[in-house]
Amino acid sequence: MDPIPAAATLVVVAGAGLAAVARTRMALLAGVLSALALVPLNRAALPETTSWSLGALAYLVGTLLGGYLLWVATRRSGGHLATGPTLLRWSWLVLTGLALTVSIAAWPFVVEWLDPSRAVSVRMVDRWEAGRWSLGAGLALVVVGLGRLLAAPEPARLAAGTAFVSAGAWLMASGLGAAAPDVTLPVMGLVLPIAATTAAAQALRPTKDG
Amino acid sequence: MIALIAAVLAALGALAVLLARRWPRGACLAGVIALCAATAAGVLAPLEGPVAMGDAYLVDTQLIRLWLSALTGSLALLVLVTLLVAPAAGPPLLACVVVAVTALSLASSEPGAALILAASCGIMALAGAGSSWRGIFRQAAVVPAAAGAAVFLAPLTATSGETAMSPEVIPAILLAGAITLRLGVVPFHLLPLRAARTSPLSMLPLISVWAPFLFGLLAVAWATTGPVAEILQTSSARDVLAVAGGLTVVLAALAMLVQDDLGALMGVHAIGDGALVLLALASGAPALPALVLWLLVSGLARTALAAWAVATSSRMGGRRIGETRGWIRRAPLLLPGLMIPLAAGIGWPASPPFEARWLIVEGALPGTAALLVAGASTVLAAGYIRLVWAGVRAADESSAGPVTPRRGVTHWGAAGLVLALGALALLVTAGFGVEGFTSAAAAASDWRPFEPR
Repeated sequence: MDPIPAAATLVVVAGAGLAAVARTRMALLAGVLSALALVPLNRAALPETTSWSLGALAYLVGTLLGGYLLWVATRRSGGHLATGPTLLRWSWLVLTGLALTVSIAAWPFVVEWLDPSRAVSVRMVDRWEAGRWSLGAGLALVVVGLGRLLAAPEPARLAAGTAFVSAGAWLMASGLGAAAPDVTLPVMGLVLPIAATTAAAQALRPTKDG
Repeated sequence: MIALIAAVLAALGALAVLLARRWPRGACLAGVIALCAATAAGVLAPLEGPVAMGDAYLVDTQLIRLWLSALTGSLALLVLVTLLVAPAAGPPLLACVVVAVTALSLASSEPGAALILAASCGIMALAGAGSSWRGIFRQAAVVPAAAGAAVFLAPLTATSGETAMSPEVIPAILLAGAITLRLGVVPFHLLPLRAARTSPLSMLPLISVWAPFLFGLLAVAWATTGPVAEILQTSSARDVLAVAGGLTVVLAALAMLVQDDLGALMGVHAIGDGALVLLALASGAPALPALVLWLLVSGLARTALAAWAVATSSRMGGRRIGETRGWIRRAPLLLPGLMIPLAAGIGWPASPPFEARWLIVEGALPGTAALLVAGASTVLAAGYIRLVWAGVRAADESSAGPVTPRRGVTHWGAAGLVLALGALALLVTAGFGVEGFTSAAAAASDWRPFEPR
């Protein structure tokens, strides 16, 4: 039993939930950073290779840089962000929890559907299997990213949504058994700063530019 | 190693532009120097073996050299034109960043990392989009996720059974969807078009041309040689891709006739040219060298046209076609500046891009349909006839005057640079520097961006 992936998933999902209901830029930033910072830990048997450690470090640096750029992108909008109806915000939270639960429960069936030759072994694993939790965390990030962040008008939410969807897809693929090379970690860590730089550039640009 | 050097040079250029951002001319100059240095490195340095980067490699091939040199060289000239007629820190900054990301994604031996980087490069390019950037941002935001998921999931489904609902199709669908979204293939063309209409003209080659073309090239390279190649070569998949790509080319040719804005005109042209990526996907691996050549010529020609548009709109004071009435009378040197890249983009029978277009279209579509789509792709340039017509007419009260009075040397310098950019595209169209992509042995040459797995 390895509790790290499950614990990391809970932090990731809590961060995604916070980002989904955030009304201030501080809350959004806290949600985004906690949702993304622990993504590299969502895997079974953390490797002890130098390339993985460097990749994870680069990922973390990229995520923190992205957080700073998100802060810059929201500088003009003040402390409070525009939000939708309360019911809608909490509906997304419920949906995120539902996605997490369903994906954890359905993980063996999805793996079996993808590749029947892996069916027997995956059905025998316990509930602490890292793949279950990775799939759950990934789906939760995708649900929040697509539904709550990318649908919003604020540049900072759009940038966060971009990173959530990418990290979510990566986590889902990892959870289903994909062996992503270590070099993809720093690349994943670049998505948030790239999206946040784009959003910050647009947010700070005078509107007459069009 | 050359990709790493180019990326570092471009990153240093971006840093210099940032430091000089309050002095637009200095920022442009810093960007031009960095881009010229990266071009020189790409052209002059000898080919080298792969360089290990963790568990991946940075490879060095003829394709990477050619693409990087064309990108950096044409962007350097474009930034020079911007420096002369409308200096701003945005274009050189974005150009340097896009060059750095392009170098790394082209040279990466890991398809997942390369595709995510290339898709992110497209998001970064949107920093130059105009007021209606949110829609295209949302559209581009899901591309890295879709492309990454396709690459990572493909090996997992490679051994499953072949049924109608086989999971093997998921990576193929994800990748085709990512290409469709990124290149603005019909019906996802509206948001890229809206962004092109409001983008600064000097940013258009980054937003609508080089960034989506890079992603399209890498995606097709992986899709036609990787685990999903068989799925994409089934008749149903080929039909869907060919219809979507062909329809986009034909509709783009029609849409070109009604555009009234220089940015929209070039945006539609880029969508029409980019649609050939889907046709190449349907044609399979044999069409890849032709696709490289086609995207390269199209990118150079579109960049030259963007430089022409920057110079013309600055000279005439507006970017709507009605506002450019009399541009030929006022700036006759800009007429060859328009005609040369148009001729380069179309090509002529037996010229490399002409043959490349026909090879791509013929491989995806049957006889008559192939003729129709290749013809539509050729007459995309007919959309510029209205521009020429506006140019030969006399200026009236609807034609705006120049934004700021400029010295004659500036006009001549900008027009000369526009001509140089057009000549660059024409040289490639004539076959200079691209011999390895047109010969019969092209498929066997070392042009692939990814190492075969």
